[in-house]
Amino acid sequence: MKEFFITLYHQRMLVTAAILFVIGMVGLLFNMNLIKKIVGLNIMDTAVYLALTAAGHVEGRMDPIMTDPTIPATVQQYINPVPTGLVLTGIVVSVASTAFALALTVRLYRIYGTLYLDDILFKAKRRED
Amino acid sequence: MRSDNGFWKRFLDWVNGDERELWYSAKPARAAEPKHKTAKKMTKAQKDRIFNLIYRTSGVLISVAMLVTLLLVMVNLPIVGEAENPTNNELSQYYIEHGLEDAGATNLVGNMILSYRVFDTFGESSVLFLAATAVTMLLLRDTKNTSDKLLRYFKREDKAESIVNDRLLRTVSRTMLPIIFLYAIYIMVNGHLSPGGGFAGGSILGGGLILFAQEFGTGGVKQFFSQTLFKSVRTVALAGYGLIDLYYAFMGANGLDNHIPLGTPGSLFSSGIILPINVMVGMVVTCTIYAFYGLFHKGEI
Repeated sequence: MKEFFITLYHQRMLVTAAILFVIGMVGLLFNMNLIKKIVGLNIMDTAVYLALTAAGHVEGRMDPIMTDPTIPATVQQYINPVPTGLVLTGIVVSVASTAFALALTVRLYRIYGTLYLDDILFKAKRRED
Repeated sequence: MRSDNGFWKRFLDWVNGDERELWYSAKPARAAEPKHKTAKKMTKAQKDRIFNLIYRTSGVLISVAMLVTLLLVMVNLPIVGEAENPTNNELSQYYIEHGLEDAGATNLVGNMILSYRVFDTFGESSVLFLAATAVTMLLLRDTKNTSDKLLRYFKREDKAESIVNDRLLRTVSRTMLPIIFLYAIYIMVNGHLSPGGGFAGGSILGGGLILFAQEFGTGGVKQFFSQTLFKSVRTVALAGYGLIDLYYAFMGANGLDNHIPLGTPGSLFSSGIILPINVMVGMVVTCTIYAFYGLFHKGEI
């Protein structure tokens, strides 16, 4: 049990990412307000970025930006640049999907006058009948 | 297994478009419904309550199970920050050791995303472009999208906004705007030498445009950044990126020399295609960020 907690301490970035992910998921599941659902989705995105950044981190090495181009770069100097690029991709896609979701929410609000999913479903069903 | 009235038949009919509903196609037609309606209405509140109970219980269970699973997985992953982890393999070693001679930028992440994996970043820019287009389709203020009531409301808002004269906003924006624009262009152009690049610089430039629109109104932005210019800038930037990308990938895939000079490492005009691509990505991102603001604010760019 003691070893378990010591490992948890060493993996604190990943543990924070896991907790953030679950917080976002709870927000996505239990909030009926659409804006709060989108906020929950964004918190889940943030957790994934944290986990990816932690995967590329190496203790005691620099960011992968060369200060002096005359000295050839070695692996012992810099951290892993691949997860950083993946996080960039993730951020861009998250921005795009959030904007699209918010635009759809605005259109729903204009039609039904509410942001609560229950009311929207109820009104949509009544309009169908 | 595949009986004629079974699920497969229904599924095939559904795929072919003969059946409208996949799951309830065996249900009787609508004429039979009113007989049961009274009996159903009695239990509807109860049904809702039971559904809510099940939904909440299973939601809590799924969340707790997710947390426990993720924590167990995280504990069993290799320890963060150690050099021998399997993520630090020969791929990242190659990117670090050969990045400067292959692509010519001192920013090794920039080397990776704009030279080795330039097609991936083209996809990202296309995603932003498509998102801006989709939001324009949904929220642009015209006769198809907006009702008359909403149009009147927007016009009232415009009039109210033209009267407002906020001294704090005016002073801050007039002092800060040149600095913000200059800083954004610096980050965009210097992306191959320092942290930053097209995405970061474009976001800052878009933020500066949003501040400009706060102070001078969307009409003020329109004087130098009209909707036609907006459309042409982002289209030309994305198309230019695509052309450079095609040329670079075609030459590289066939083992030909691409005749793009790499320049001296560390100077501003170096690193081949990374500088122009950073500027083009910055243009696309600027247009997208400002379009999001304008469309969500009052439905116009």
